[in-house]
This record gives sequence, C-alpha cells and structure tokens, in this order.
Amino acid sequence: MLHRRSSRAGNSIIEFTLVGIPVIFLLISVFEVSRGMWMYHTLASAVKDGARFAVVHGNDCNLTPSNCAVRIRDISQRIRSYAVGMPPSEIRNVTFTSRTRTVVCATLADCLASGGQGNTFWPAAAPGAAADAGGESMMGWVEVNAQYSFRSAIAMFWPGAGRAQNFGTFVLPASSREVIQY
Amino acid sequence: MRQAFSRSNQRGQVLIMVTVALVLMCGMLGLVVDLGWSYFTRKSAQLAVDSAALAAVKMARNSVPTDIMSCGVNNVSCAATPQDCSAISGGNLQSACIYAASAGFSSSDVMQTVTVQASDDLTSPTVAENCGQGGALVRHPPTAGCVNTFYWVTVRASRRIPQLFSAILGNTEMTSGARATAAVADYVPNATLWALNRQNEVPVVGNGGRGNDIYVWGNSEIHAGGIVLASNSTGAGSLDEAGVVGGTGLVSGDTVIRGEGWVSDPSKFDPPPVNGFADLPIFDDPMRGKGQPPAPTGLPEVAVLNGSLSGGNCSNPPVYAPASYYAVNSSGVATGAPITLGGCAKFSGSAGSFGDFVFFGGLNLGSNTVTFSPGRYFLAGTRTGTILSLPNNAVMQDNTPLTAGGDSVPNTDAGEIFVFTDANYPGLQVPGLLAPVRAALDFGEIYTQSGNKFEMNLHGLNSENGALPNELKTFAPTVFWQDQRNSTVKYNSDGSVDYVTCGSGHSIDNPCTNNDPTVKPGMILQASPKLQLYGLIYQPRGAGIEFQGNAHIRSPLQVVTGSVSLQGGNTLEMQQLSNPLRRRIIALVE
Repeated sequence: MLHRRSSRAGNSIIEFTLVGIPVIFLLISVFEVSRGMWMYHTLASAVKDGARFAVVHGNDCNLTPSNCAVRIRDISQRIRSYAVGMPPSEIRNVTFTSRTRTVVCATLADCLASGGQGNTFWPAAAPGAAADAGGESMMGWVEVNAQYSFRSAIAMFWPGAGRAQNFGTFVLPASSREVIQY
Repeated sequence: MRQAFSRSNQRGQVLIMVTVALVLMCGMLGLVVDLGWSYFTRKSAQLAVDSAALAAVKMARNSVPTDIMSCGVNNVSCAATPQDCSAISGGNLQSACIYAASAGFSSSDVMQTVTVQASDDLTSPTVAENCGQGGALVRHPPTAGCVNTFYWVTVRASRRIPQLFSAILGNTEMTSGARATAAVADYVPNATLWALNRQNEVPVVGNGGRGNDIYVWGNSEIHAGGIVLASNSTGAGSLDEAGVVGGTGLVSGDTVIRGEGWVSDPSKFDPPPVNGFADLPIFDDPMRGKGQPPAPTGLPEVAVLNGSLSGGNCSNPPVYAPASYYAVNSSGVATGAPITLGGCAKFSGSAGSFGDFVFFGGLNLGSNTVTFSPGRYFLAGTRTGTILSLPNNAVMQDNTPLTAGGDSVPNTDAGEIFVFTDANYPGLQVPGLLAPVRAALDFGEIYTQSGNKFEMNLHGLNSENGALPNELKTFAPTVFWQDQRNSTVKYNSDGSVDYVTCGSGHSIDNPCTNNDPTVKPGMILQASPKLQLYGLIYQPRGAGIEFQGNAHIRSPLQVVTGSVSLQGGNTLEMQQLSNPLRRRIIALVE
C-alpha cells in the first residue's frame, strides 16, 4: 500500500510537470495578451478623447472676445486622465499635428510640463496673436499620435526571444484624426 | 493516522488558497469586465450627446430667419437647469432627446438619464465675463469657458451599470456618462475677396463676359489674402473664364475656384489658382442668413430747403444731429432732390453714441470736408442716378484719422455703415411729405471724382464697441452695404439667393432674376491712394464693382460682390482686417 501510494505521488509530480507548465504558460499568456489589448484600447480611447478636446478648441477660439485656446499640456492632461494605469513617462513619441503646426514630445510627461512643449498653444495660435495664416479654423484637421511601451512577462516564455530582442517590451501605437469643430 | 490527518489538512489549504485567489481573480475580472464596460458606455454616451446637442441647435437655428436668437422667440427653446428628457415634449430640445435615444440613451430606460440644458447669450445661466481679449464680455455656457456663443445646448447622458464582478468588492453600481455642448458661434471665413457670380450671370460693370468673376486689365494688380470665385466657367462656348487677367496684370493671393472653373492665364496668378472644389458654403454669399441691416426707426424728420445744408468753417464745422433729411422747395413741397453740403459739416449724435441718419434723394458732399461720426447712414433713393457724390476735393471722413503716412488704423469707436438703397427699403420710415415723390426715388450709383481728386477715410462697424446696436452687430465690419434688392439676382428676405419662387427649372446656379427695372447694381470707385476704407464693401450676387484710374489703393479691406473689374493700371492691395467678416456657425464647443 505504502509503496503504491508513494508511486502515485511521484506520478502526480510528473503529470503536473507535463501539464502544469503549459497551463501556467497559457494562463499568463492569456492574462498578458488581455492586459496588452486593454492598454492598446485605453491608449486609443485616450488619444481620441484628446483629439476631440482639441477640435472643439480650434482656431476660432482666438476670435475676440473669445479666449478658449488651449495649450499642449491641457490636451495632454486630458489624455492622461483617460489613460488609467499608464504612467505618462511610458507614453512616448506624442505628436500633435495640424495642417500648419506640429508639436512633438518625447514622452507625455514632457507634454504635461508647464514649460517647454507643454506651454505651446495648439491647434489655435496664442490668444491675442494673429490667427495663423490659413490657420486651423473650421474644416481644418488635427491628428494626435502616441505610443505606449508595454512591458510584458510573456516574452520569457517565448523560445525565440533572445537577448537581441528588447525583452518583453512591445510598442502599442495609437492615432486619432478629427476635423476641427470650432 | 498522523499522515492521513496531515494530508486532509493540506487539502483544506488548497480550498482556502483557491477561495482567496478567486476573490482576487474576481477583482481582476471586475477591472476588465466592469471597468471596460463603463469605458465603452462613456464612449457611446459621448457619441450620443455630440449628435444630440448638434441636432437641438441646428433645429433652433433653422427656425430663426436672422442671426439673432433669443429664448422663446421663433420656437427657440431654453432650459435654465438641466431638464430630464421625460419632461421635454416638442420644440428643438426634443430633437436632442430623439437623437440621444436613437444612439441608445433614453430617459425612459430606468437605468439611463438624459438631460438637456439650453440658453441664449443674454439669459442665465449663460456666464458673462471678460476673458482678456478685446475688452468685450464673453457670453459662454457654464461648462465651456470663454467661448463666445449666441445660443447653446448642453446634453448630458449617463447610464447606471450594475456591477458583475466588482460587486464582490462592494461596488454594486457604477455610473458612466458624457456631456457635450453645441453652440451657435462666430467663425471667420478665410478670404478677403468674394466674387459670387456664377457661370450664368453677366458682370454689370467692366468688360468681362458671361461667367466672368474677376477681370483685371492693363497693368492692374490685386493683392488679397484669399480670393473666392464662384463661377465654374472654363471659358468654353460663349462664356468668359471665371478669371481673366490680361496685359501685365497680376492677381496675388490664394485663389480658389468652384468646380472646373478656370482662368485665362494662370501664370498671372501668384500662386496659381486652385479649382475642383465642390459647391462648398464658402462659394455662397457670406451674409446669407443675416437678412439686411435694419432701417432706423423713430427719427425726427428734417425738411431741408432746396436740399442745401449749410456748412461752415472746417476747423469748427456745424454739427447735424441724427434725423431723416429730405429736400423741400420754398413752398414746402418735397422735391426728392439730393441733400447737398454748402461747406464743411459734421454728422454726429451725442458724444460716444451711435447716430441714425437717413438721406432721401442722395447725398452730395460738394468740395467740402464732411465728417461722419459712428452711425447708420441710409442713402435712400435718388432722382439723379447718383446716390453719393464726391466731386473735386471732397473729403469724406470719420473720427479715426489716418496715420501721418496716410494709412488706415483700426477704429475703436462703433464705426459707420452706409446703406445704399431706394425709398422702398423694407422697414424704412418715409416722411409723409415725401409720399408724392417716393416712387421716383430709385437706386443710384456712387460718383467719385477721377484723378485722385477726392479723399475717403471711413471705418466699418466695430462689433466690440458697446455703442453699436445689437441688431447691427452681425453686419460688422461692413462700411458700404448695397441693398440686396439692387441686383440682377433675386434675394430672399433672409439674405439668401432665391431660386425657388420663380418656378421650376431654377437652381443655385441659375437663380431667379430680379425684374425691377430701376436697379443700378454697379459700383464704380475711382482708385485714389486716398481711398481708405477700413472694413467690408458688401454687394449682393449679381452686382459688380469696378476700380478705375491709375493709383495704388492700400487699405484693410474685404469685398463681397458679384464680379470685380480693375482697369487703368491701378493696384488694389487688400490688407488684413484686425476684425474681419464673421459668420455664425453651429459647432461643438465642449
């Protein structure tokens, strides 16, 4: 009895080794892919929300006596508050493009800063300044692009993942282009 | 026994571990499923409220014939506090509810709330504050800062979401929603010169043929910020091209042409014109929807003997107060003769005010310096064919002098609008004595002495000055307004082109013609370096403007007209206005 019992115990360890490792791999894969898709969609929604915020604050905001022009940091704040769980320093290559002007930040954190790029008025010109020549009034467009570096534990299971590859980091892009409303 | 006991003990541990893990896993699931669902709800709510707010504003705007929108007038509904859709029936605010419902958000669902809030620019809860630009008050919706609006609708939609997995952590319900505000606001079209005639209209001045919008001959030049040509004529058949530039003429400025319309010589355009545009709103009259400037009412009537207004010393000229002026003969019978100045004079209301003046029979400045203080000047009909006459050495000026170099500067006062019309302008009060000659007071033309022998320094309406009446604000920065009834094309009372009332077979390209035989739709201005108009010259489609003579006009100017002609080697340099023509549009502002 004892002998058979311990023999069964050894079996279950082998069985667990054979089945458990792939199951855990599968579990973590599902978890990580889901988390990646979550990040991807969150970033896409956040960028879209930022673009929407920009198109309702277009060049006509400079029309006296209105004064509703926004800065890059206002739009970035909007993106940040939507992008739950994504550190601004991990959202990279944030690009704000309009027909006349483009603003690029290395990370969203730079765009959020009160100085530098974050201080730039976009898509409208600064209040009081003359509207941009051929500026972004109605029917103009804006485009917001961003990338998120997603660090995943998944790569450690990938047989092909060598040192040459950026271990477990995936770049998730997001882009939104909208027509200026006002 | 000991072994069996310890084994069963271990079994229990797994159960506990799984149970604890389940709570965590449910938390994770809750994050993904419940939070994900709430994000999805927020996105769909945003879509619903965007369309709902736009629908409500558009519905209200469609029911108002002019730019002035007020709560309770012309079916424009307002709601000072957010009103639930279940309490709204009928009116433009119901459009918001219908649009929200079709996008999945309806107050009839117990889990959903849709509210609508709306107001005009002068009614609470619209906020009026100074936002540091231009000194005027900005009237904006409470939720959208510093956007100057004239009517707005805010729609809020939310959904209560019962929680599936995060309920385990104590949240049984979550609310997710969105808000949007649409408004009627101002927009600046990016152009300085509109030639609105289409391919079926014949220019009323100049040498251009049917279908021509802009005709530049000799070594004349136009420099403009943006030029809009509405004719799609390629020059084929018996038509002229939309743009004809001959000799050493030049057109400088971004030129856009509707459809396949083209020019005789693209090399004389800098940059070359761009065509191929669909029939976009920019090719229609930018004043459509505003109606015409309202005529003044309640003015005192002043009968002027033989039409002669005495003048005086130019350093201290006599001041004439706001009134309706008309000429009478020595027996007191109205003659319909022009009002003629006998010396230097000034037309002005009390200091800082906006004066209303009507001149029946036309106005002749003589060889005098005449000052026009801010006001609305109606030149209502003439028997001579000339409605405004500036003979040799006449100076027509206002209270904003030129710089020492002879350039215009922006006006801070309310500015002037000169309306050129006849005695039958809608709403115009005609003195009883004028009744016998009223029918003879027709449209007339502007006469300015050639050879640089006159001066003109006027400034159009300034919407930022508080003295400007509300009803004229949408016409800023107009300085010259030609009655839309004085055109070969028929206009509706709302300022749009009429192609409906004359039967079938008509379209915006082939509108109703105006059969009034008294029209004189051409405006001819002698080019003089002293022609300084700061503002907008407005003529309806079907009318035309010609600049003659050899001079360089450099002035902050916008022109809306049917067709433009330049001859005799003059240069028209249209500089940027600091406060250009605006159009009311409907847009999301938040």
